[in-house]
Amino acid sequence: MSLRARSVLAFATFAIGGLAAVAGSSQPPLAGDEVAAVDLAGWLRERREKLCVLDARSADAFDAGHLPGARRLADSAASDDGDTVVVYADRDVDAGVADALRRQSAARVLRLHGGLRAWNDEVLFPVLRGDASAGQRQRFEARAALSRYFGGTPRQLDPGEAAGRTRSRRGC
Amino acid sequence: MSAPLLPEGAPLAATLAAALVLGVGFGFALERAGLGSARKVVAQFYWRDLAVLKVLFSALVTAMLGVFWLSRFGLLDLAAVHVPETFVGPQLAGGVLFGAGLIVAGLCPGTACVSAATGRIDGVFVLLGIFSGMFLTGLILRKFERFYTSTAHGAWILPELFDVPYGAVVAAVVVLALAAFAVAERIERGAR
Repeated sequence: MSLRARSVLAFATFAIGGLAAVAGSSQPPLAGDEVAAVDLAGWLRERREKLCVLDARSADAFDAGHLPGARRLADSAASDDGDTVVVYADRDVDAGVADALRRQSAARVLRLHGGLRAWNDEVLFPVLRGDASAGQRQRFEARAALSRYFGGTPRQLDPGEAAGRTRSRRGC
Repeated sequence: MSAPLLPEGAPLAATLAAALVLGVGFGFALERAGLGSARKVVAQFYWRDLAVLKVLFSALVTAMLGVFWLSRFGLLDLAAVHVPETFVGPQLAGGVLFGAGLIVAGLCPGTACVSAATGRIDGVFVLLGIFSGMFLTGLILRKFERFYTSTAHGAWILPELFDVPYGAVVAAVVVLALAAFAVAERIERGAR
């Protein structure tokens, strides 16, 4: 490979790596019509006015457990009340559901990013590693307080305990 | 770490077929890089030819950037990527043993397979040694169970260890790799 080609390759690698530093997180940014579970929890905790939370799941799933103050989408009209409507399902709500709501209502319609699963993982049952740094522990306290507010159980792992990351297969 | 190429619950035949294709591709790349030759691999330890460092660091950086940006664009679910657990003491000891074996044999498990597949006798003997070692280790592992499971940290990743964003670690590894390539080139020029 010529020196010029190597220089171009090195510069391209450096640029792509540098952009990663600028991007920061490896997670995709939230779409314009999405809200993070932790942000929604904050809104609910501060009892934000005219906030309407709609559950797009089945009646059985709703009865088994739902977000605080949520109503079933099938039993509600988005225009009932609220300036902001947040709709959720077990995972991400289909964009078509949110679009249908927007057609019925002038409210700002948002989808809960990650759905009920994100609510459980990030709000109700946050996990702190046993070997976490002081800074990580400090940040976790705020999450733990939010978790307890909604009746969740923040958990601090023992050193070496698996952090609940998916380990469905073995590999090297 | 290993990323899920196929969805969870894919048929065994599909999984095996994917493993075969990836394995052939990996072996082809190793052979094309010349790493099926024990002389080439060992030359690294005498600072004469640092192809191993350059090839493997290139692969690592390519995979790392690919995983990061695929996840960032929502094309790969990082939560589904398997992260092996960290056991600091046992893995340090295993690394030292592995390194010693690499220098003595001139081949690691991957390059030994390539070497054997291309008809090199030393590769066949290294593979025999690897399987014999695995068998013997399996027989005596219980005696070392306490050590084997010591200093456990669970699935541990660098952003958690250094408490910095994922992207910062990616950028740092890229800079480290580019610096390593530059130093390696200079060393190789000096050895000629």
